[in-house]
Amino acid sequence: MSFPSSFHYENEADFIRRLIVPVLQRLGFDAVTNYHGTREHGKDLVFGETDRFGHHIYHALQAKYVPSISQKEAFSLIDDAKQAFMMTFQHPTSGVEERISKFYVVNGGSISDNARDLFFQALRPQFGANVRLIDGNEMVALERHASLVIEAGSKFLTQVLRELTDNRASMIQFMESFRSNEPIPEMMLRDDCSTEFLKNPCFEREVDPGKITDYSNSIRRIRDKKSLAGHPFVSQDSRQSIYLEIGDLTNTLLMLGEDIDACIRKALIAAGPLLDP
Amino acid sequence: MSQTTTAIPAFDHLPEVNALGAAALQRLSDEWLRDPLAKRHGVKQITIKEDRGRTLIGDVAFEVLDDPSSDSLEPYTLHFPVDDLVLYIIERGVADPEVRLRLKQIVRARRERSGEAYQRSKSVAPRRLFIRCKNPQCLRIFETQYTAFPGRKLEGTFEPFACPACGTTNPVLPDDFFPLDCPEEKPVDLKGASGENEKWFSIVIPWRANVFSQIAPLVGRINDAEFEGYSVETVLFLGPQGSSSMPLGRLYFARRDQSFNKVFREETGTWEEVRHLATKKTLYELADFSVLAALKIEPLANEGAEAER
Repeated sequence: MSFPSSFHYENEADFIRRLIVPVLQRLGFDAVTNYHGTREHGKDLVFGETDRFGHHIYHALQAKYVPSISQKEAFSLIDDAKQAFMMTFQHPTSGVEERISKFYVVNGGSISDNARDLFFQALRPQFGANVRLIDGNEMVALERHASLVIEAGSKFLTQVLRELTDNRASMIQFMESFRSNEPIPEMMLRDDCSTEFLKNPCFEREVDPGKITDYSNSIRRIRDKKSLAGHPFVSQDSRQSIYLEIGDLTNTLLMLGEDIDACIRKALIAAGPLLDP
Repeated sequence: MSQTTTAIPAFDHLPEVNALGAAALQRLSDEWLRDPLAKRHGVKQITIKEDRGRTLIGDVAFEVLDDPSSDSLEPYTLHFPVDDLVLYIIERGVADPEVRLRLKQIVRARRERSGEAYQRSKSVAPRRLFIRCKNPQCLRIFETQYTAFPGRKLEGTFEPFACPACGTTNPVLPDDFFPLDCPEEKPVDLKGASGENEKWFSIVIPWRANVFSQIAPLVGRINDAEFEGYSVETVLFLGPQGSSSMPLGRLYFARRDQSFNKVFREETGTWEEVRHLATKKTLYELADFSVLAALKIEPLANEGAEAER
């Protein structure tokens, strides 16, 4: 076997950067740190997660991008695994010396049966099930799974984006009618998509839920003020002052909307599948 | 070949047949495949399986005997005459004539009471076939006029096709055609700010790596040049629909006769452009949709490629 047909990476570093790192991030691992090419001690990547007990644990990954890993090459992977467990690594942000709990070997191509047997026979007595081998086909399956996880989120973000652009058009229309003393058009501001987003936030690193909350709240305040302005007991002067307040709120909302719009587009660019079908 | 999706508990009410065991039932089922009735319905393979003491018909594989034109998308109904198989097994597998008679009566009674117990049908539809340019720098996918039932391939010789995108001439073999799944077109609820009289349409694109980096900057924008035959500013890109479980996705658009940046002024009875005075921005920002046009899967206009059937 060779590489899966959807793999077109230049080398190991490219494979790590364009596939392994994004897949790990999509699967929810944090603190993904690339040690490839430095004093790695068997670790190309170190990544972490919080286990069910609330403890933070780290894993190391040694990547290969060869058509097949033979029995001979398995010896060096065994050394990598032993080194990875033995040597500590420095946490990139806290600087604390940490140790790994699990060691993964990921190859873009296949892993021969002999290499698998040798690898596990040599390491299982000492490390139990904390050593794992992942071949190219398994990596494709992981990418599909990881993409499905973020697909629902990206669908949501697209809907929020559409809501933002429609609201923006409504607000500009409102502002220009108000400025030129023309009849105030019906301002159809929606916040159903942004409210839905807040119920189940995603891409929180790129899209700040706090900003979406502000956006949604501002829309409600504009709606309330519009409703007040339409009340028959409100005097003409008061109505004018309410419309001025609406104008101020709309201006702020336009800027906030553009800010969120830019964040969402940035987040969406990183979404979608990592491999061709 | 097409297969049934659920197991058929055909022997549940026939203890003597069930008692024959999976191996004997498999042998008798294989014999039945040579029966003219099995051949007439295109039944090619039956797999008997055992599940906690029950013997079931696991999978049934059919050959689609219908030979529609190579561009038909009409579904075809597969029919599996379970009762005939069961009667065949009773006739040849059960030695005692009295037991045979009793079992046949059970089958007839159940068939009369509930035809579904012994008749299974499944509808299969041909799938549209696509072809890919073999130039590694291009690899664009094109929709062909051909269709095929699942598991069935085109046969014959085909003229080479010139890729409309890169101009490479591609030799074509029957194995080069492949079916692709595409998300069903969903009606779009147009409740935007741009008013009434909007219509929507969609185009099909390959759902490939980094597709979002190409389309995300264009969501919520309108066309700055003619797009899909519609004039400038009259097409609004609503967003994509796709999944990494499918190789194709869809892009949805709203369109209307007037520019999306114009609003109807009742006093003058005209459509007028509206701009935000402070920023000079229009209602919707303009964008270059040529990226989306380039993604679109085009039908391959190659009349020369003919399948010999």
